[in-house]
Amino acid sequence: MMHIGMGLVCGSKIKDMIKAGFDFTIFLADWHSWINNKLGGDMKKICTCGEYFKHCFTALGIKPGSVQYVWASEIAKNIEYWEKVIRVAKSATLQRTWRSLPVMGREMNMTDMETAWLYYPCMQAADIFEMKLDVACAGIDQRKAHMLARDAAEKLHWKKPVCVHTHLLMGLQGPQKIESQFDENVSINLQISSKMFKSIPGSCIFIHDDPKDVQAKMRAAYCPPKEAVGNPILDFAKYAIFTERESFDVPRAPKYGGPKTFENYEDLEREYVKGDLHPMDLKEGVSQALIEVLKPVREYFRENPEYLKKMMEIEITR
Amino acid sequence: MWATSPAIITFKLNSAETVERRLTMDIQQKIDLVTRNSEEVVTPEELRVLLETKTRPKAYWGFECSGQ
Repeated sequence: MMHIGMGLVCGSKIKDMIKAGFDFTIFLADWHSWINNKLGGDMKKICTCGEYFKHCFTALGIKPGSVQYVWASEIAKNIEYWEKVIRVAKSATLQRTWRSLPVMGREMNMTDMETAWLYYPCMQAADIFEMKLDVACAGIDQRKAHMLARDAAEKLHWKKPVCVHTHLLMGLQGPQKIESQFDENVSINLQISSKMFKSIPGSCIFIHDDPKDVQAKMRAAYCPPKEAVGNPILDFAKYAIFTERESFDVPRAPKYGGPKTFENYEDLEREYVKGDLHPMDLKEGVSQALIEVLKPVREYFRENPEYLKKMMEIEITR
Repeated sequence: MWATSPAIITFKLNSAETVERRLTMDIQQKIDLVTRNSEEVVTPEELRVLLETKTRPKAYWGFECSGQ
């Protein structure tokens, strides 16, 4: 299922890129999903998921004509692609490739792993060269693959991709104790450890969630008073609401100050940190704004339920 | 007599308008769109040069097809 991290953060950046005049490709990495054992490595389920994602992006306002969809299996048909994979693999040490495993959502320094996992970062780099891309966009957790690609390009005298890395939206559970090692950089490691994970119950809001479920999940979410750092609700406001809306309303009872409209994230954060905005009111405001932003998605899937139903039938395993 | 149907003409007008809008957006506006709310851009200078030299640069976002 697509959560708001993928739908709203990625979706909004994709829309920005299209607006800025980019010829944009959404790449459905089916082979990479198979290597990474997603959906049990079942290609039929992976393919269904890819089709479902296309519907999700359409529902989020990325018109099908404004973007190209390319499957990894399409480029995997070309011998030239695999030649690039080998050239990338020859340009990087085993150590370097191994240390890039976090792009697969795996921790650094894994030893109990499949050989095929080492192909993945090399394939990810080769994808960029095969599709002759100028810019590679991704969440900040993918930066190791992109740096590998840039270093390979340097050695192989190929075009170095410009990289645009986005924030990883925090899960509703809040920041996690750092027991996992995904990156040497403490801040990046924290972002990766604290992101929305489907495997953590209650951590995700899905783009097609019923308004009642959005409200319930938000009410139960972590939201430390007067704290902006490590606050998922403010994270949503900054990266999921203000990217889609010019202003945002907080409904509030008159005895607590009455309703308030914020024109930008900075004002919202300032008011919250001062203690002039209560966590409950912040949650209610963000909840309602999310529900409103996601209305077209619910409407779309009401009209086109087929792939949503198929995804619900698929049992998701890691 | 119309050589092409009104629907096609409307489509062509809309496309032309979109292209014009893109062309009239200056480099800085495009840079702002690309970089807003981003965590990191490698490198901003390369991005600027790209936008200055290519009218329709190619970009992508890859997604694993999974529940997470």
